[in-house]
Amino acid sequence: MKDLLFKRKGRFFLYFIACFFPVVSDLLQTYIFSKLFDAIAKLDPKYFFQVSLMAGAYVIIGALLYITSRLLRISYMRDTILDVRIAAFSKIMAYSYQQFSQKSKDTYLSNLINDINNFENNFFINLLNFIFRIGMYLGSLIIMLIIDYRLASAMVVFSFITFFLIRAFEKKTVALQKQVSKTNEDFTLNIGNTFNGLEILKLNNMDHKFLAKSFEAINKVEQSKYRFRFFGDSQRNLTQGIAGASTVAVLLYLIYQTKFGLQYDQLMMLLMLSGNMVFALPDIFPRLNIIKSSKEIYDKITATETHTNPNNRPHDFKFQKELKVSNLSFAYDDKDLFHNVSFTIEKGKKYLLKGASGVGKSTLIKLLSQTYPNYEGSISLDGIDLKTIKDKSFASKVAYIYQEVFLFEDSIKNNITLFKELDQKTIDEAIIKSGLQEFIQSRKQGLNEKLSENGKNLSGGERQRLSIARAIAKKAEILFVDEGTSAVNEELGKAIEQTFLNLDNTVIAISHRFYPGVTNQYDYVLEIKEGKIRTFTGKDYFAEEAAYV
Amino acid sequence: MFKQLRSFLPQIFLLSFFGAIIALTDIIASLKIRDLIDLSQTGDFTNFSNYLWLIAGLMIVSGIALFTFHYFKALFIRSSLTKMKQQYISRVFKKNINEFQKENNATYLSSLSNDYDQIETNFLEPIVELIFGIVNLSAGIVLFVIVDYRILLITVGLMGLNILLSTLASKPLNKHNKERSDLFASYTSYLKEVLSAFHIIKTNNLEDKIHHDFKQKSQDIQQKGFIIDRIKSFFFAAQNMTFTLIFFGLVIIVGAMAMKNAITLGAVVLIVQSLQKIIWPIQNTAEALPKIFSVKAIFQRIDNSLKNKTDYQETKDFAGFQKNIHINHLRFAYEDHLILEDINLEFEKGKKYLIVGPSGGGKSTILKLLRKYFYPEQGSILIDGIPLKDIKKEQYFSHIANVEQNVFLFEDTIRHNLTLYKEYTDEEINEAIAKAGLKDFIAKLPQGLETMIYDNGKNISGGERSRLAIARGLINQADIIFLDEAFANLDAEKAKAIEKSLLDLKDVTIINVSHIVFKEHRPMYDDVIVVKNKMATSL
Repeated sequence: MKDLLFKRKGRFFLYFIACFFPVVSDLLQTYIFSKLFDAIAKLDPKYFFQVSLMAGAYVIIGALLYITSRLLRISYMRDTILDVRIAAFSKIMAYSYQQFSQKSKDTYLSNLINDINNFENNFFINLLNFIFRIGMYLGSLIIMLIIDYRLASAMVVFSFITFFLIRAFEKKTVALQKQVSKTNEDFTLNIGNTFNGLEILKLNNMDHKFLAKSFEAINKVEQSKYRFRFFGDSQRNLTQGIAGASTVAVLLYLIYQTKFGLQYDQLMMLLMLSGNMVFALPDIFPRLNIIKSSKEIYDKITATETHTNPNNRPHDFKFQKELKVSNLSFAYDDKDLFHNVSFTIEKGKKYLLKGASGVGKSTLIKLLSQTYPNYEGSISLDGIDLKTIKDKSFASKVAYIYQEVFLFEDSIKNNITLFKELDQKTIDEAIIKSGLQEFIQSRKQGLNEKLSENGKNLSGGERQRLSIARAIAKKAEILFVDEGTSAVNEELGKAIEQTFLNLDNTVIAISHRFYPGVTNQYDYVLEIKEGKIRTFTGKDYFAEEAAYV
Repeated sequence: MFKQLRSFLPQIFLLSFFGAIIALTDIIASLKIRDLIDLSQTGDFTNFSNYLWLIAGLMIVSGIALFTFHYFKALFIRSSLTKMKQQYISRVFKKNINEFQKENNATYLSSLSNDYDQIETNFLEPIVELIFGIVNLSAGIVLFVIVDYRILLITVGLMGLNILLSTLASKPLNKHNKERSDLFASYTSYLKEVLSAFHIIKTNNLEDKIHHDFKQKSQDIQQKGFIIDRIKSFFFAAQNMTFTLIFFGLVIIVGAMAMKNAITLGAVVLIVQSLQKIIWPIQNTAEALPKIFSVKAIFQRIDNSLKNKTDYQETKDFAGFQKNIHINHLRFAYEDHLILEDINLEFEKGKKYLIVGPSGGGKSTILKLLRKYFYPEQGSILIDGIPLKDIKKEQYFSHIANVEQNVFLFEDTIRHNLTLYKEYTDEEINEAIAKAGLKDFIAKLPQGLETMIYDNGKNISGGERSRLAIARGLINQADIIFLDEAFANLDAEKAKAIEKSLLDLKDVTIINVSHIVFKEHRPMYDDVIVVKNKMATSL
């Protein structure tokens, strides 16, 4: 964090100074106000007029101080936050796909947007307030020491009493807040489950019972929120009460001091400065805590992790005959997905993976594509274990087609070649085989037309065909498809699936759709049930279904 | 929306009462301090200690009243939120099944948390703040009027000026705030897409390009944000300056009045001290009112989402399925899609039926119609001659059993998950377990039927869940069992065994909707019905 802040030493120094401007402004205001009060007490019109002019000047000076302070601060913040964004992004990009898959996309999005926003708000605002209040406290203390050192010492004592009071309450406040968080989580889980089963509950006339359970859960949540709120309010009231009482005590003391010749401008100054001290100190340390927790968020989103070096991978990708899976076992999240599974994928054939949702079809693809390398058993290509094949070599021969297609804000050509240099013949072949000719002909600039806004105005079918064109242009030998036709309508899906089946590549696909006449063309179906995989020929598997349709 | 608060009037009254006490003690203490300051100018300190004790006493009373006020505040918010959330859930439960399912469950959950959080922050809390504000404002007004009513008018005038200027500034400020949030919205969607493309980026070595693009976009957004912040700075500075001007302006006016002996020095202190009591409530109200009224939309939205669009009065009792179910010329459409057109079917008691067809072809819909999720548009469903539409839901449901593909398990013992809290003898339970193929599974568990299921049965396999659902369906010995893709998660041998025990049941009508068919069992079905192209054909 220090590196981040001191990257621009000069600007940080200016930022730091800018945080003191409000202190100067405030103390000036206090001084002028006290003088006004004194003039009124003395009933001196000339004096009063002079101070009024000073007040008028202050209005302008104050505004200038304000705006200078803000402008200095926001430019520093702009550049520092840019650095944070880049650091957080680089951290995520450095992950391997397996590491990346361990958390949901929403978590990363939260890191890149919410966490940084929170950091921007919490860190800088609290840093400003922290410096401001320290400045106020010390500034007020120094001036008070000059005027009345006994009162100044009394104020130091008072301010520390309120400070320690707040600290005493802190632990319990944090504990109560954690409790609220937990009961909320429990509640959401509980009610979420109940809603999931509401249909069944109603069908079995059981809803009343669960309604009562839900009521209980709501009670629990509101109860813990109540405790937190009341405790927090009480703490605030106590500290503000003590601070307020001390101010009144000071006022009474100062009024008594006029008996001994205290002037009214001194009275007003001392009153306001002591208020500054008592109210500023308790606020300093909570701010420091927020700054600390912001720092923790910063560390969390930018700390680079050490990556394990890829182990010895001497072989190039070679696929002439078969991809063989032997005795594969894999568990994910305590769930046993595959248990001693063996099967073979023949080159050039088309395979369909079937099974109930959650059974592991997408996971199987991740295992076959080396995305999840921690499995038991072996997967080999033409006898060579996948774990010994070079990463880049493997990546260049394998392509993936998913339900969602990411398009770059660039030309159609670059979206197909993915920014690599490919000869026109390859590109043309890809366009023809994926059925994109019509689409490209319909564009004014053809291949060079730029896709705006990540291709939002392209239809689902066009996106999928682009995805297929990419895979062909890449000359991938194995094509993994995960619900490639789910996002389009029946007719289009049929056409796209036919396109897959017409390709020369080996295709391993997941699809829950059945297109009569087309889906039966798969060479083999791999059915996953209860941790085991059975291989069927396409003909056998779809016989029953075909009979009824 | 304020109707909601009617039942909480006593608590609101208590809040106002203690607020009034705080205000009163405040007023008296402030007046005594004024008197003390004026006294100090004369130099007569004889009664000083009296004043001291009085003021101390008032502060203690004020402190106690403040604590009590916040106690009732916490109580008010808690009881009103609890009541509102409970009412919400009751109404969700009252929704008809098909209307409930129209929304994703996440919508209801989000309502329960986000919407009610908003109601707490923007409705309940501001109401309490308003009460506190009114109390303070009254105290302030009283104090001002005691000194000189003209000062009150001047202050209100200056405050009005400040609010006017703030309102003028708010429009451009809101415009800039909106610009900023739009900027971030498009930046966020860009990031979402990049994260979705992570795999492509990694497997095609596009990291450098993406880094470059990201840096560009981020620089862009930071700069644009900075320009907006800069403009806002000028607005804020103007606001700040206006405020300082008004403050000093007021002090100088009051001072001028004091110079003419119209008011005393103590009164000047009183005015300055009481300024906050006037300013804060007005500012707070200006902020709170829009918040409170913005909540109105939330209340309306919640109310709409909870209404049942169809409310048909069911009048007929149901004592059990005796003879047959007739579906006559049934026509059904769902949101402008015609799903079934002129369906005619008959189901007889005790017979076994298999319904097949392509997915999305309508077979599940027929099942839903038979389970009273929907009512037919045209045509009718008659059970023993009585229209299904007229039969009371609860009674009908107690005579049917359902086995579905997505099994709902709740945090309780296996026993309760099977019996659904109804009373059954051990023999009845064991028979159902045996028929569903669960005997081995339960025998292996150390606590058997009393084993607890946690977290929606996370540690129970898909096949076991299906069998639990089937056992549930068998146990209540209903007249008719509806199966909806019940065998999808079971491997072939187990599914066959269970299908056989179902087909062996005497006097129980079975309607099995399934795309998994075992050739050997086909003859055991009394009829196989194919539902496709909006029609149903019996084979």
